[in-house]
Amino acid sequence: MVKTFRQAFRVKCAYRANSFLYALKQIPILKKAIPQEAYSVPVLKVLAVIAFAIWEIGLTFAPKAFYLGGIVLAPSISIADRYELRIPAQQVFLHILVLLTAAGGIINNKLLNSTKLAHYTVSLLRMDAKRYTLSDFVYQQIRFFAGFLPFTLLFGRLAKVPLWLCLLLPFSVVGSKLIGGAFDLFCEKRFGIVPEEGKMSFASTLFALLMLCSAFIPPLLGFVIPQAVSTVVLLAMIPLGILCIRPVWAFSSLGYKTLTNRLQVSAMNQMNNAKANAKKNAEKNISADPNVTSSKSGFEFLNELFVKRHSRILWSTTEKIALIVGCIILGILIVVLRFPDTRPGINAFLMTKLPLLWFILYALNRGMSFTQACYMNCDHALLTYPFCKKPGSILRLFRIRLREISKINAVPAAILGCGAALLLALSGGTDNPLNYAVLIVAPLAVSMFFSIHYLMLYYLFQPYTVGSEMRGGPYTLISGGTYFVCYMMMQVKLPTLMFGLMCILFCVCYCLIAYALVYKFAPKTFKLRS
Amino acid sequence: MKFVISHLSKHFEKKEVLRDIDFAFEDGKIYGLLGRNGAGKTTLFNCINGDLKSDGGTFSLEENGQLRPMKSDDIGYVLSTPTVPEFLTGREFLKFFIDINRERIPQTAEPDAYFDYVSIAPDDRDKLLKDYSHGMKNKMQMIVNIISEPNLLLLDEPLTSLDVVVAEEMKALLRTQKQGKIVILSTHILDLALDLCDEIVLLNHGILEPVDKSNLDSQGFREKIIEALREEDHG
Repeated sequence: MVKTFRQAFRVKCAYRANSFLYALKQIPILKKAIPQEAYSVPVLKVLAVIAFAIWEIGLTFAPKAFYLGGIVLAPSISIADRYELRIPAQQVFLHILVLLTAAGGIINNKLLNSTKLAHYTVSLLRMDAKRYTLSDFVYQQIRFFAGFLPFTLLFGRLAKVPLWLCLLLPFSVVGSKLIGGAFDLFCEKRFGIVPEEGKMSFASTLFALLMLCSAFIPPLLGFVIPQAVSTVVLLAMIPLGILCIRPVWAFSSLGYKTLTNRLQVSAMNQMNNAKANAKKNAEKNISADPNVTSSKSGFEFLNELFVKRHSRILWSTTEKIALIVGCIILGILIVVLRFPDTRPGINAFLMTKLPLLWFILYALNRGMSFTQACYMNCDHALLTYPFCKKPGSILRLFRIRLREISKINAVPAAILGCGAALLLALSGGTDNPLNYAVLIVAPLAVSMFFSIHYLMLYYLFQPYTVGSEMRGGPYTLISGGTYFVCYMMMQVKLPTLMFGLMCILFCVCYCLIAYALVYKFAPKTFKLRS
Repeated sequence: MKFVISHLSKHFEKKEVLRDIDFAFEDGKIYGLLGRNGAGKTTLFNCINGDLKSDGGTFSLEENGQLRPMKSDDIGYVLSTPTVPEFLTGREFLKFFIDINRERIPQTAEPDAYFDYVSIAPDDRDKLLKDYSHGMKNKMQMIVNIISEPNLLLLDEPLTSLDVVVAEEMKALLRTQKQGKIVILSTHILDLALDLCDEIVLLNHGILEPVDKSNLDSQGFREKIIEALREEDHG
């Protein structure tokens, strides 16, 4: 088995090193610096293997530190504080740990896995499935043990868990993995079901969710498993785990091979389907309603049919969003009218919290869905025809689409703005009537910003490949940046009038610049990517 | 009319895919562009169609002895995987195409005439294109290229995944389309190239080479092509 492990580990090193070099070559700045022959340059290979080793060591310890420190210890201390130490931190610590360890044993025991590496070693390199599976399982358990030990000691002691128990906890974790692995094999033998496939995956997820909820919700309400019980359960995992070595060891070689192959087929199907699914899902959004027609011509004809046949993700969705926004505003209106003492608070909120608008409209805007549907169901085809690649055609369609997405995004923004102005009036009003105007116009301006922003990104960085995969670095970066900026806007504290006027000015300027950029660059940048 | 490629080159990193290509294609002929897998056939088409930026070189059209640069309207491109806007019906796609090309192509027939021409059944004409089969989508691409009458028609592996009936229909269609046009068809299926094409051009070591058929019978010509392609291994 040691020999098998060494061979498999060598494959793993080569696989990770090549993946690392490949990932580096995808970074634009490094792309040219790293030669095509990088995969055969010994120095680069050694460096990549070192990077892999660092990565592997990091992954052995860092997640466990985060898990035990952030997910187990921090809530334990916080809950203990909340109950003024009537519930000791170590009791909560062990409560959370025992339930999460049980969940981990089932969903993350590392016995049967559908990694690409398992596919390469067992299916392609024809390694013995049992030897490979068990050697990898042992390796993973050593990693679990090594990764947990320093942090059960550190964080366990911080929670005042006895030292002897801190030392035994990593054994319990490994025991839970053995129990989980044996349980997987039992399910396969008895019921013919395999983890990570269909129902079993669902049942495991459900179990894990149940354990997760039980780990945190009861302690918040003051109910914690007695320390003696959690200790006994955790300790019981050790002998039970030892007992489970036998069924794991005794499971037939053919059985492991069949299981590995089944998991591979399932995983490969999922991988292959991922690409096709994006396209299929996009096609599902096309309405087959035979009554959809258009009396227009040219690009207006194309656009009208596009919008009508995608109403499910465009107008229908925006109508639902508008309805929800309307209902929320109506609810607040009723509160304001029924409970006068809420008025000063709501008035103050409206006069100071306009920056929230950015995040709200970021969440509500349809820009990304619109551009995605544009590509998947329309542009990926039109851009192969010369008549649609002409600058005039590109810009014509851009103008039409901008008009369309602006209308779609403006509806919830208008309801939000008018509702906010009405709420301001009914919650005590304001001395400066300009505030009302700002509350109505600013959401419209911000919605216009999002409309042109996403359309501009699409036209300037067309992020999709011919195979409908998203691969645009700048597009992803700016989209992520947009979320970050909108999120950070929530921290801004400025009076509504000043912030609103600044927003309107910014949005107008941004729209003009974006429009100019599209006119200048889109005829060159809006094309299919290979 | 001639389609002239001058000094075309394209490389990916250190690999030179197209090497200083000089070649002239004449109208009224179907050219079979043969090359082994990875020889650069699709790269050549993508460069001609402007989907891929070439490192150097020009594409021109020679009409009445005068050379002029290629325009996008000069080119029709039928991809191996046909792409059509899935949310339109076949009829709507044709209407859209005719609408926006009305100024350039004033003389067009009714959509049904084109559907009849490529044998798309009346029941299928008002179906969404997302429900069209591979062959029907391919035919829709062909209709668009028949209507727009490009001077140069590029077909990338056009018949590879079509059933035998549709493949025969497409072959017949292509034969009718060559008059007044330059048709270049890329394939790695030798039989198809010999059956359909008037000229065979090999993409060999990044260079286009015509295969001279003179004084050779069918079998001799076939062997000559295979021999030329085999030489790549030793090149």
